[in-house]
Amino acid sequence: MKYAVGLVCLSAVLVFMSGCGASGQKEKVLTVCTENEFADMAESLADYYRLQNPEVRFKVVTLSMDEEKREAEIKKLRTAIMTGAGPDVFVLSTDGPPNTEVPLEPLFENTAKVMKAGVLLKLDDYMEADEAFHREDYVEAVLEAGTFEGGQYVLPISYTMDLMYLDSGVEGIAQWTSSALDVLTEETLRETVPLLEQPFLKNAGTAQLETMWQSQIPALIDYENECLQMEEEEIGRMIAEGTTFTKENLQDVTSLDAADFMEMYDKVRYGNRYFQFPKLEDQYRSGRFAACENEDGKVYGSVQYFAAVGRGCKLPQEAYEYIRLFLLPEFQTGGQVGVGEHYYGNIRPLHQEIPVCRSVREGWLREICGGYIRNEDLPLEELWSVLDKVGVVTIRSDVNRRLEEVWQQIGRDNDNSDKDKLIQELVGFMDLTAKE
Amino acid sequence: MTRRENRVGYLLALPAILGFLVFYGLPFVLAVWNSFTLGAGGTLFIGLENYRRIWGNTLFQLAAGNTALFMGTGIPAILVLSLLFALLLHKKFKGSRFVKLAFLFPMVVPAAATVMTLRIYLNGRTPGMALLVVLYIWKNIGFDIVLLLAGLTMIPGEYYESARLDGAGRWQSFCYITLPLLLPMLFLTFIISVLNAFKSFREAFLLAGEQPADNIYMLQHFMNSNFQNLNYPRLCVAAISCFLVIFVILAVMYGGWRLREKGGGRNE
Repeated sequence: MKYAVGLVCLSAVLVFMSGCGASGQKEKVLTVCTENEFADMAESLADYYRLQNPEVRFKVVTLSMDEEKREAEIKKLRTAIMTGAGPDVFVLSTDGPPNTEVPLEPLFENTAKVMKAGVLLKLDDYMEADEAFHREDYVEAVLEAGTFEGGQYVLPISYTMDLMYLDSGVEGIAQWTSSALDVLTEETLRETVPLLEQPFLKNAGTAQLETMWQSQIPALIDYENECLQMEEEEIGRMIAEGTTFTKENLQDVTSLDAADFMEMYDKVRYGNRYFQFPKLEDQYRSGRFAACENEDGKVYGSVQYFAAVGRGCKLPQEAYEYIRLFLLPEFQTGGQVGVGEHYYGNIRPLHQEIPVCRSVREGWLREICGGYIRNEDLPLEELWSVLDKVGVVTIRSDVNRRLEEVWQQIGRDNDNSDKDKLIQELVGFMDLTAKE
Repeated sequence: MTRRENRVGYLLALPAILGFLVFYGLPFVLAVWNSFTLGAGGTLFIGLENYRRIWGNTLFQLAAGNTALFMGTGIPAILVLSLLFALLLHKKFKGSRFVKLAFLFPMVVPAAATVMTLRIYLNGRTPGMALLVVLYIWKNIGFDIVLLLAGLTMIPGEYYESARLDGAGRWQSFCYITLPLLLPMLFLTFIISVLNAFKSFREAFLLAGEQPADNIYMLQHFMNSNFQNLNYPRLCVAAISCFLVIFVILAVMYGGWRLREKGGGRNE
């Protein structure tokens, strides 16, 4: 009997010892959570990283594009993240995957609040120790958007800005209102042939006004102090009146003279359009890019894609080194620029996914974005200067999404009484979001 | 009871006790620990900082105030109404069985169906706190009535006959026989009503979405938002604060009841 008990104990000790041995040789694994469109990039960079660090293995988890599956996945992931057992690395879009028929839920509803929740790793120490990382190579305002209480928790990969390309003819008109532009947009829509039941916007630069203040409104939320930075009434007024470009030739005015309006309306409807995305290369030579500025002359932008490391990550140094690859000039890229291919309801700024690394912009526009800028002699200085002006950058969040929903409702119903109600709801939503 | 019988009793209760400890006790302890930490996994201890921040948060105060208002009006109302209906239904009359069943029907109506119907009546108007209270009472009163009816059935009829012979009126019988003897069941009904009150969030959520108007913004909305924003410590603080309030109320009530029982025992 004693012999049998001794044998059992010995076996148990051996089993435990073998377990210890195995854990000592355990492979280093980093789990990367990303969107479908970023999966190839994440895999490629993982392979690149493994050239130098073959001991690290990567497991890329892609969020489903099927609404129901995605919802279930996100619930599981959120629970896992909160318990510290979530993915090690996140490479995500701030507002879910773009270009989907139905807007899909992002893993982080509000990236600013996720930073606040403390589930992401503070990257400052790793960035300081990283000799290859030079902050000045990147657009500071965009990097700033990934900070909370002075700490860098998120590395923005690309950002968007609300730009409008103005043909030289636009100089002739001194001012307009947002509502006048809405009418023009509507007219533009009526003129064009619907494509797959979705109006196809051709040369409709005017439509940019809608997305313009989506960048501005979330910037009014001060997450660190849990408050709105303006009075609720003032925000309501801003939304109600729409926000206009503050460029000197695009002054914010309360009304437009009826005669001027009709003249502009006729020109847009029957003549050459004044506000249009450039179709031909030569138009870029004569036109100008106008950015959306606040009263201090700061241009608005918002983070589109970002990378971050989970606080529960067991290999923080390796995870940081991996996400840093997304910011290297060699791997920085911008999105497609679909001039003349903007769908109504999902209108994006003229230039979306602007790479955060300054040195890659020219290459991006010439080689990657494809389509409309091919001429190497093209003067892009003005575009560079506009892109550099970006001064207030937000991380798109649930506020943006709610804003889009509300704006779509306002646009669809076209009823002023509802508009007031929706604006009230939206301001209330922002207030709650700030304080939660 | 012999020691052996005691042991058998514990052994039989063991699966339930283990289940409670694993699925409720342990998560509760973890939630308490997480409420003192920052970030995922509960590794960074920050003491009472989360409590200080959340108790000072205006939105938490709003949510707690609304929840208190909802429970403060809804629970007494459901208890009084269910007691009233239980007393009426305790007397047999034609169709009493049907009436009892009718009170239980709302329990089997899916919340989504109820909300869809209500939306038609609301016609775009924002639901208010009064509507949520009415909905809560309508949905849960049947179960409370059943519990109180069971309590009433357990009171021996001889007590009332004896009281009547001694000249007691209906009101006196109610005050000196029904109410004291129904107290344990009323206490149980109260606890179940509190639990059901927390479930009313489902209706509020379906009626007004994740971010309702200020007047119906409840603690569960606050917790749900923190879940979405992955803020587990804040979620835990809100849940534990809730627990503490309910625990104190129940402890006071239970203590009062025990004292009363002891006092009653001495008087006898």
